[in-house]
Amino acid sequence: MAQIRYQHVGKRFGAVQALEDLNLVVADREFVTLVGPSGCGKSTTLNLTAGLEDPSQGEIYIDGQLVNAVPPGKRDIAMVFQSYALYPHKTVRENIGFGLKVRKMPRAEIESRVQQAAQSLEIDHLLDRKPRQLSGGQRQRVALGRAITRNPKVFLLDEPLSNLDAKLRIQMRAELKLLFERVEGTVLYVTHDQAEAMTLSDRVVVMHHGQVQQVGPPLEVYNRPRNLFVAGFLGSPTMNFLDCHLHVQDGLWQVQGEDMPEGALTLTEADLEAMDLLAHRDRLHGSAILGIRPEDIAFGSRSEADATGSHLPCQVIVVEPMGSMNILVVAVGRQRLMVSTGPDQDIRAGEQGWLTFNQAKLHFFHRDTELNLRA
Amino acid sequence: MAAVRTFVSQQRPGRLLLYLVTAAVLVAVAFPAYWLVTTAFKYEVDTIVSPPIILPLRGTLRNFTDVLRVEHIGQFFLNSALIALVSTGLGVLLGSMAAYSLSKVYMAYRIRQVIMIWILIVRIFPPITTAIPYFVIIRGLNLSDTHVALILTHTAFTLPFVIWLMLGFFQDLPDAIDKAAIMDGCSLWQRFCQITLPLALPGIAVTAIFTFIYSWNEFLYASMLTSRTAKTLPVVIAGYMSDKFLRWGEMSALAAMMVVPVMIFAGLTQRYLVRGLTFGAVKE
Repeated sequence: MAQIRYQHVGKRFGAVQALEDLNLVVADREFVTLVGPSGCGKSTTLNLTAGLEDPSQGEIYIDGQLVNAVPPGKRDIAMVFQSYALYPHKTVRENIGFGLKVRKMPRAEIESRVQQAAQSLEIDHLLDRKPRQLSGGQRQRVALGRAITRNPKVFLLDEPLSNLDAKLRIQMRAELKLLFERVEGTVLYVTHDQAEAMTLSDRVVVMHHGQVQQVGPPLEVYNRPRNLFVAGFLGSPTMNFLDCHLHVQDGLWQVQGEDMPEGALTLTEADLEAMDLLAHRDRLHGSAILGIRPEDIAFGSRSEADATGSHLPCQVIVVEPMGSMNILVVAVGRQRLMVSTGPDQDIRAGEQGWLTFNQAKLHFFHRDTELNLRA
Repeated sequence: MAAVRTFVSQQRPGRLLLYLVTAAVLVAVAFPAYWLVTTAFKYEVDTIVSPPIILPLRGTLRNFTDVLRVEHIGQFFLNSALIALVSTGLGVLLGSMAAYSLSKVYMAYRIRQVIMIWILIVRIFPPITTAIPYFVIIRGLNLSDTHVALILTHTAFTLPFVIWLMLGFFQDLPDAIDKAAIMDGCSLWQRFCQITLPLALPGIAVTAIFTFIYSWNEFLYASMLTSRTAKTLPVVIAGYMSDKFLRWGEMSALAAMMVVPVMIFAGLTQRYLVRGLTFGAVKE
């Protein structure tokens, strides 16, 4: 059992509030990812959990035990650092076994555990090398080996893949997923890469300015972002936002804006129900920010658009062929929107066309509070 | 091609100046050493003639044999070596520990600055200003003419230097390595001994060379605090100067012999001076 519980945890560095009132429970053996831009407080959370920093306020419990005053080495936590932080004067074998040696484990036991960890990470042929003789990916594996060989209750991983090149990062991401399915332990993973957050985690914690913005399973956070920041942070290419105004006309909701002429987007009660907004429809009157993901917009002809409740005239500015899809940058009035289309759709820059929205996937955010009106 | 030639020709006067300055510095640095060694091999009469003989055409080993025949010269050699080695070891150990604490303990910038300057104050005073207090204290402790007296004073004088130098080396070590050792369960002492010190070996080597040279050459306190039992070589050299004679040959011979252990010590520690020991530890 290694549940981590944060109760009103805060951390202040001088005048800077790095973390504010964190309340979170990470369940035993759960893989939770803290994600957010630089300076959002995710690494501070990790350091507080490790005991490398002391909280300015609040309590941290691991396994039900208050650990605020427990030194890092006694918390039964292993940490993998962004910079690997291997001991350069020690061999791979000594690096992996060092934590066990410090804990005065018998030499034979250390050797067997080191071998086991090295085999599972496929670095058993590198055991007698020094870190400087290894490639980036190999060093990362050694750092992981150092963590798993101790069999700790909690793993803390601080952007472990960010120093690897793109190809290796994707490969290691899959390996990490497999590794931590085998290893017993609660994992707290910090990244600013939302793809890692989405693919690896049981739950993600989106952070911004030292505050938790949303906690939930990756797809839930992706599909039901709590506020404008979360909606904009998760997803690549990012969600499109349009200022709009909503009012009811003839029993239908008209969504208009400076760049959205009247009748461009009309919503029925059924659409609101699909968006889970029916119960909150009174919130919809007036100004709002419309959010729509690129994959929920289709580009086509007027006749195709007329068949749906939305048709917005636009002009294609840039076509970015990605292989598996095309990303279009289109101009709607003065606004630029990103649209993803199938790779076979032949679209050229400069082409005029019509956009249709998947009306079940629209998001409306309050203009001032930036909260999702559904929330 | 023309552009390259113009560039090279423009570079030439600058380069020439650079060579000239380098040559001048080389002569300024190397000439005293050359003068010392040649004087050590000169006949006594050749050391005092005017104009001085820059390029001696004859030489003798007499100065060396005379110096080696001095009573207790072996013991004085051993005294110098013992005092220099022990005070270097002590200074580097204590200074490294102090520097490590200063680099790892969180404290306000101003407080750290005050502590650092306070440490440095010892070196700001000319040594002569503290000579009398030292003399009185050492005599009061009944340590006059003992190795301990010089080891204590030399260690005290080298500590600020060691702390300042080692602090720089420790601050250059990646913080993540120290954190990794904390997570591995290391105590402060284990981190210092097993992680930080091995990584700071180049720094320790540099510091050790300088402290050894300081102690090995130190004259003022050695002449004041020792008379026979703990007498060191610089004091012996000074003995060749009196109001009646100046024995340049013997002085130079002994001084030339004194340089040898320093060169050996520097040679032994040189391999640790190679940079890049931390390469591969962290990816910056």
